[in-house]
This record gives sequence, C-alpha cells and structure tokens, in this order.
Amino acid sequence: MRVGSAALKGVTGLVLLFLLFPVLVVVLISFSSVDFLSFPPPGLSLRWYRTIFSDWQWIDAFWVTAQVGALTALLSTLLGVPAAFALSRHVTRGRGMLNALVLAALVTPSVIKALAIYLYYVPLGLLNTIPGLAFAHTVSGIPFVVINVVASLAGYDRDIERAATIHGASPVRAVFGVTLPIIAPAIIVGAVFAFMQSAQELLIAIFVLSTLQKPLAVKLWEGVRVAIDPSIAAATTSVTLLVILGLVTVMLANRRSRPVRTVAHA
Amino acid sequence: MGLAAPGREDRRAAEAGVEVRLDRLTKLFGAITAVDEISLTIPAGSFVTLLGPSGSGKTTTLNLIAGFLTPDGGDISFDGQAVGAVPPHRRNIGMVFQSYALFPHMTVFGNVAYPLRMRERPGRAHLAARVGETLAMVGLSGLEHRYPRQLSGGQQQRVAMARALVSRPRLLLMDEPLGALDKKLRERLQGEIKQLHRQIGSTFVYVTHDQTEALTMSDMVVVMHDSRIVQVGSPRAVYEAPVNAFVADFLGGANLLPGEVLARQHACYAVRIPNGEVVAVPHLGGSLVAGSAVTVFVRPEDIRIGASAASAESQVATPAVIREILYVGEAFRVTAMIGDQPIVVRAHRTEAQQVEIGRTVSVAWPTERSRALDVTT
Amino acid sequence: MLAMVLLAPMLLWIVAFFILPTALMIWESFAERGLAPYAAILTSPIYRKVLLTTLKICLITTSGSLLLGYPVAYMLTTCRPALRKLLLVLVVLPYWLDLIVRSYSWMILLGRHGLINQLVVGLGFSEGALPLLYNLFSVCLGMVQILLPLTILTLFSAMLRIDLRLVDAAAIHGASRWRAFLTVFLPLSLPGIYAAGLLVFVSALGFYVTPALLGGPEQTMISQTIMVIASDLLDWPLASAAGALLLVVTTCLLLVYSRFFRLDRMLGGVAR
Repeated sequence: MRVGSAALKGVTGLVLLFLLFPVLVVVLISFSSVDFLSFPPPGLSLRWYRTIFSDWQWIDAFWVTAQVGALTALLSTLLGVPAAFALSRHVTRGRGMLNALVLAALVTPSVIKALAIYLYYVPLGLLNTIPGLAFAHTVSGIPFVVINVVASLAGYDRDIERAATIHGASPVRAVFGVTLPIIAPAIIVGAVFAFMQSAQELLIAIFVLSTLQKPLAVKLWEGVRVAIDPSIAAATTSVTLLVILGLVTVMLANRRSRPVRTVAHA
Repeated sequence: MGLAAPGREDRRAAEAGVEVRLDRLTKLFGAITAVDEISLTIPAGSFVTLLGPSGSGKTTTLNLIAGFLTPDGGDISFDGQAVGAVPPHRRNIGMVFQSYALFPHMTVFGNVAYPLRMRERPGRAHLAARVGETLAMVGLSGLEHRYPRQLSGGQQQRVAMARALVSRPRLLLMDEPLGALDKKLRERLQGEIKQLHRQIGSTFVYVTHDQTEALTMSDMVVVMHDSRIVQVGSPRAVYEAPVNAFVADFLGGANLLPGEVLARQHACYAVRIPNGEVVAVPHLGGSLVAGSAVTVFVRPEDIRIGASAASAESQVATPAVIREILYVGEAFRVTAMIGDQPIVVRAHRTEAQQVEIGRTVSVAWPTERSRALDVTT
Repeated sequence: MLAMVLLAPMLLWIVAFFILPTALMIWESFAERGLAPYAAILTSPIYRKVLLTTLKICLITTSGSLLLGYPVAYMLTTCRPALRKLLLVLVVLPYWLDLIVRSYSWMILLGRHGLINQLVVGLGFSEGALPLLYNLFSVCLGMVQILLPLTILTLFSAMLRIDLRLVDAAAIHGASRWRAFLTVFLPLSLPGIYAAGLLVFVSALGFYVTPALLGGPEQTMISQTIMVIASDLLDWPLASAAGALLLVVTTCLLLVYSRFFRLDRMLGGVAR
C-alpha cells in the first residue's frame, strides 16, 4: 500500500460496511422470531422459512423462477460461448459495433425491454409462457457469458490448443477436449450470472408473466409493497443460499484447472 | 545446401527421421514479410537449429513447418511429399513449446498419453507401458499423477519433452524449449536433449536465439536475419567462417576491423588495417579487387598479446595500445587500440599480468584464423 | 466465415428478441398519433420534471459511486493478492441478494423506528425521528449501494493496467506519496473513471425498484412514469415514445463508451 495506508484501509472498511450492511440486515431478519420487522431481531428462529416452504404460492414462484432462470442460463451459454470465441479470435472488422450491441443488450433499461417485448409478444402468442420470459431474459444473459468467456480467452495461452493439435487432435477435438475444460469456470460463472439476472429481473416478468404464474421477483415485489412480516427476507435468502451453493461448486471447479505457472513469457 | 553423403549412422537415422524440405517459403503478416523466400533442406535424422535474433523469422518458419500458419508462397515437403494441404494434427509431428503449453487440467500421465490417445487407439496396458517408458527416458518416473502446476520448471519442461516424444514422431519441433530455465539447468537439459536425439534418431528442428545452445547441440546451424537465411553450416563452419559481419557478431564476440584490400596474392589478400600496417588475410577464393573496402574478422580467443604474441608462431603481428583490462572470471578481457579501432582480446592470466594500460604491445593471430568479410553482404 | 457461423446464432437471437421488439416499440410510438406523443412528453411540465429528476438522481448517484468506489478499487489494486481475493468476494457479494430486497432493507434501516433513528434518538442527537426515508437522500443512498460493485470492478480492471512502479519512480524522484498519487496514479486512472462513470450513469437511468420503494412523489424517475403510462393509463403510444426517448439517450452514451473502451475489460471479467 502506498498512499496514506491507514486512511485508505479505514475508508475501504466503511465503504464495504455500507455495501454489505443491507445484506446482513436481510439475512438476519429472515431468521427473526417475531411477527414484525425490527432490526436487530429480538430472537432467532426458522419460522419464516417454514412459512415460506409451506405456502404453495411461494413454492410456485420458486419453481417458475428456477425454470425461467435455468432456460435463460442454458440459452445464454449456448449462444454466448461460440460468439465469444468468434469475438476473441476471428473478428477483426466490426468489432466495435459488436461490442456496442452486446453492451446495449445488457444495459438498455428494463422498462424499454419490457414494453418492447410485450408489444412484440402479443401477436406472437408468447405472453404468459415460461419460454417467452426466458427468451427475453436471454438477451440480458448473453452479455454475462460473452464478457466472461472473452476475458478468459484473452488470458488463455493458445499454444495449449496448438499443442493438442500438433499431437494429433483435430481442431474441433482440441477445442472441446482442451480449451473448453480450461475455460469452463468462466463459462459457469457467466451462466450463473445469467441465471441471477433472470431471477432478479422484475419489469419484463411483470409484463410477460403477470396473470397466471408469478416468478419470485414479482412475488417479492408484491410482498415489499405490503411489507408486514419477515417472510420475503426468508424467501430471498433461500434463493441466495442456493445460488451461493452453486458458486462454491464453481470455485471448486476453478481450483482444479488453475493455469500452469511458468516463468516463460517473462 | 545439403550435408555430406550419409554415413552408416545417418542411414539408420534416415529410417527414424523425416527429411524436411522448404522451397522458396514466404509468409506475410499484413505488410510485413516475416519469412522471405527461404529454401532449406533438413536432412533426415539431423539436429538442425534455426538461430537468429527475435523478429528474424525463425519461429514463423517453425510454425509453417508445424502447419499452424499457411504459407503465402513456396512449398514444404516431408520426405518429398508436399504437406501444404495436410492439417497440423495429421502431420505426425512432436512439438515442445516455449511456454510448454501443458494441459493444466490433466495429470502428467494424461499429458504424455495425449498424443497416443489421439493418434492410435492403444489398449490400457499398452498405453501405460508407452507412457511409463517415455517418462523413464526423460527421468520423470513416479510423477505420473501430479498436475503440471505441482511441478518445477525443469520438470514441466521434461513433461513437454515426453509428450512430444511419446508417439515416436519422425519430426520433432522445439521452440526455445529451455528459454525459461536458469543457466545450470539449461546446460544439463541441453545434454539430455542431445542424448535423446541420438537415442531415437528423429529429425529435430530447434529454434533458439542463444548461440551457445545452437553451437553445442546442432549438427547444422541455420542463421536467420531479417526474414532470410544468411548462412547454413556446421557449428564450426558458422562460428569460424561466418559469411558476413552479422553472422560473425551474432555467434559470439567478434573483432571486425575495417580495412582496405591493397592486393590479391596467391592465398591471401594484403589488407591495410587502421594502424596503417598491412596484414595478410586468407581470401579463400574471394574475388575482392585492390582498393575495395573489407572487414577483417578475428575471434578474441584467437589473439595473443604481449610476450606470448612474440613467441607464438603467429603469422600476423601488429602493434596496439592497451586501453582497458577487465577481469571476467575465467579470463581477462583486454581492449587494445589498433589505430582508432578497438580490438578485444581474451587473455590468459599470465598474458594479462604482462600488460599495462597505455603501453604499446604486440598483438598477433594466426593468419588462417582470420577472415576477410565483404562489406557489401 | 467461421466467425459468421459462430456469431450468427447470438446475432439472430438479439435481433429477434431485442432489436425487432425495440423497432416495433418505436414504430408503435408514431403509428397512431404521429409526433404528438413526443410533443406531449417534451412540452408537458410533469414529464419535463420527471426527466430532470432522473438526470439529477443519476448524476448524484454516479458521483457518489465514483467517490466511494475509487478508494476501494485503489486498495484492490495495491494490496496483497490474498487480501485482494477476499475483498473481491465481499464486493461482489451483495449482487447475490435480490435487487428488490436490497432496497427493501434500507426501508427497515431508515424508517421512523429503524436502526438509524433508534441510534440517533437514543444517543440524544435529535429530539424526534429524522425524516430519512422517501426523499432524494434515501433514493441516492439505495442506488449507490446497488451500483457500487459495478463501479468498483470497472475502476479496478482499469487500474490493474497501471504499472505501479511508475508511482515508485515518482517517489524516488522526490514526490511525496500523496503528490506521487496525484501526479501519476490519478491521471493514469482517468480512463477508468470515465468508463465507470458512463456505465454507472447508463445503468442508473433505467432504475425502477429503488426510487419506487425509497423515494417520494418528488423522486419519480422515468422508468416509473413509463410503467404508469403503460399499465395504468394504457396509453401505448405515449409509453413507447417515452421509451424511445430513453433509448436514444442510453444508446448515445453506449456508443461513446464502446468507442473508447473494450468489452472484455468490462467488469474485469466479472468474478475472476
């Protein structure tokens, strides 16, 4: 550390506290033993988790979110990984435009996507369908996969793939047998992020799936408007715990294939 | 450009190795010519080094032989068969990469077994036997189940060697395979690689920018500069009889004295050197005429100095003024001025003790150890 | 050729589920009443106020995120690798908790009987509870908290490209640590600040949940207004026109961004 070490540590600590405190609040309240929202909770219990998991409405919401999220993650991966290979290896002209397009798919305000997809789905009959919502979410899921895989390929020594080729693997086999396993952690992280953004997306979900089935985000949104008991905190925390479980799996996968450390290319 | 007719040993090698022929090979990267119409025959079973500074085209040449790059002109053939249309994975080559390029997600066994699994469909017992045998050859028995990141640099290098050798390819390419290792380990592995070459007899094509490595290991050195081949020959030939100042300088310390040809005599030119003296330099069939500029080349270790210069049977001796004496460990490096031009002498302890800075002494070298280099090449 | 084969599925998808729907929305905005919806938005004092409020909130949020994010990104750049790993996990952690619930937790903290007011009143800093919720302050606070990870990661990936030995070089030539930072590191990190600023600003433009939960009527942002026009007033041309205007602004900012910054540097490859 260089500049004003102690002050820097202090400021960093405060910012992290600010960043993480709301998370802590929600997680703690989800274990609250009382009926009202108070922080810190007077006692701890699992009663709100019992409430959530015995309520069919919540269970349905979980199920809808799981289906939409999984389909979104799958489609984003299938579409995003090949595109990332093309972007980092083959595309020379038009790169800027492609980057802008992928970025636009990510950060264009949800309200625009929601409005546009609603108008578009009415004649197509995709409203109130689970694939319909996943198809729309995939647009914002693809960038997570592309960004992660492009970054991973940038740090990948292509000689490893060449080594597979020169020792007898066909180019396709070299990509599937050597390159993909090595960049797998980046693909998985991208897919998990695509899932998370689908699970947290509200406006498109309101427009596409409003009447029959409600995904978790819509259910939570209705919950916070009335906000009387800690059940929504428990619902959110459950999703987070499940996803973090997934993330731990990713990290374990990551451990196995850390790149070889050599002094070459010093 | 080929070598002498194959002897008995070479014939055995010809079965294990492939003859590689490059014919006016050219590769462009945009407006830059990376390899410029080079032609070369690499004899079957030989150990050939492509030597040159970075950017001289040696790695591009290697990648063209491997098939990673497609030539923009010219042909490559293995044993007379054009390989232009053969993709890398069907060329049956082994290769050691500069970064080793080991598969990080596979064990040592998996890495070494890879070429066998891709090229043949070996039974499990056969596979284990071949991998074990190859690992024993490179001295890595017992490390089969380690991952590359758990190995030292030298061990990783050996895994890369084993992977390249395991399917007994008739051609082995090595791209600066020792560049990442420290000097001691590098010297040991140089010996081991040479040993492996003798043992299996495949054709080895080795790329390096380290002249010592090239001279120690090769049967034939190909010196590259500015995308072209400037000289091909045995290590002794390129070191002792460089064709131009670049080769002379790149292969080791070289004294390059500017001079003028006064006359061409029966075996030698008479050349005036910067201190005004006239010395004899072998012409070896050269055709410089009186009046042309020439560079006189002598290696520092061929020059004697002081009293030993007088007693030696030198054929050229000339006065020089000592300017600097540096201790370099196993010897002294003495700089002396011949006129306005410095020459460097590698002097023994006894010689160095006899000279002092500022003194005029006699420096001498055997005539046949000097060369007249045409300044225009 | 190969590039086209690999890119085509993604491009077709983005065209089918993003470009075409958006084009349809723009067409819809003109279809019934021509330019009238646009005129309505740009001349009506109510919508003008919403646009201005949105810009104001975005500017405050962006500045706040950069101010708070910069020291953390700098810390990440200069600290030991082990600590860096831990800090990165902590920075990305909030992302895993639902966006809606992150705003909701501020309602619990900032409310009349929330933790902050309990502390303030309990410690005697104030007689009654402070009005901390449903104002500009709470909206910006909530948005900064949500946008900080993006800010920090973008700044960090830009700072990683700065050779820290340059700061040492400045120090050896007589600059104090602080001056070395101001004259060497800070100027070199400017591209990162621009990149993060643009990205955070564009992201802030589309916020819906946070201002709806933490703001009062005075803090209504454009996304909320569009939702009201569409789902309550059912005036699709007007909603589409407002959406189209928002789209023009975000697209322009994105074009500026991608003109200067590369995609793979974004987010530093998220969680690496």
